[in-house]
Amino acid sequence: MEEKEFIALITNHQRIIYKVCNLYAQSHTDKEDLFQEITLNAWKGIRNFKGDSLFTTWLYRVALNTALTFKRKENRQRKVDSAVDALAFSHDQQPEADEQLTAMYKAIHGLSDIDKALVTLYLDDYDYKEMGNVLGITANNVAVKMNRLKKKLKEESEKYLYSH
Amino acid sequence: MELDALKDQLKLGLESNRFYQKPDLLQSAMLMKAESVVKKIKQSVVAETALAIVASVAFVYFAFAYPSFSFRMYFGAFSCISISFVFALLALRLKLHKLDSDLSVKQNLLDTQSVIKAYVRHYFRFCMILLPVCLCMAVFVFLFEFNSVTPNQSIFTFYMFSHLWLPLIICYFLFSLGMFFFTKLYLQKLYGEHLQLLENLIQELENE
Repeated sequence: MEEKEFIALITNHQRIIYKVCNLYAQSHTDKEDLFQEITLNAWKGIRNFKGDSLFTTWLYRVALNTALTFKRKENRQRKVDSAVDALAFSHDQQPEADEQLTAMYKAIHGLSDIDKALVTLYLDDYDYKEMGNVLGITANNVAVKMNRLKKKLKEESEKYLYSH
Repeated sequence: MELDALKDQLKLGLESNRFYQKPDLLQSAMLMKAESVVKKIKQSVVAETALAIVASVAFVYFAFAYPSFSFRMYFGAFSCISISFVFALLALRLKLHKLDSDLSVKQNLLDTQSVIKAYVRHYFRFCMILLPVCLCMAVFVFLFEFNSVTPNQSIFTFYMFSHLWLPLIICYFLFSLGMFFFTKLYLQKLYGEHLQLLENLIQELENE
């Protein structure tokens, strides 16, 4: 694949990379570094992409694999607050809805790296089988993890809402 | 509050925070150097292979060209070690190149873990093998040269034992102990945390 073709393809699907970077990296520098790393790995691996799966599924694999093994420059202790604040909310919503969203973002940012991967795929409407394919686990395992995850997110976000 | 109720808004929020917007930066990102642990190991392996090849050539040259027999043996032993080290490094390079970032997340984590573990193991073994080899070869050269210079004088007397061999043995053991702990600590500092992280991720994926 030509460089120009690849750039066009990545540009069309860059929302996936942004989503992964926003979830896995906290500081601006880390996000940029992770973005570069994912782009670089995708460029190197594009020759192996045979079209057996959707390009988006392939890109998710590359992005998640890179994010999970990415060595952060700064301490892994998160600056969750600033990361959540940096996320762009649509401000035409009700303040109450904004607060609920903030609470949910905080809860998501507090998740483990594997749980974040599950959330990322779930938000993109992947079914459990497809999620299992990307992660390398069974659909049953995904279902169990997702049930537990939803419960945890509900509890954590409510905890945040009540404390404010 | 359920995750499903906020699904679309959450997705939009995560996607719309674009910190890297200029299109030409995407092109430059493809040319940049990667920062991952695997990439660093790849670079180390390339540098070590080059050094090991240079050392092998030098050792082989001296093993044949040096006038003293004991030194020829000394360099011969080190040529064997450095040549086998080159092959070990080439095998590791092959393993590193087979790492594929579009495998499933679990497989990728397993492969990355296996490569880093192999590198750490190889590094530690090499350091530990060098210690007795260096000692034995140094003693061999010393004995051989001592005998050729003073053929009638025995080196295995009580005086020589207490004034030469014993201090040397103590120094060797202290040095070996220091090297053992230093190498372990060094590798743990460089890769220990990352290996633990990979281990945790794999375990979390496997747990139901």
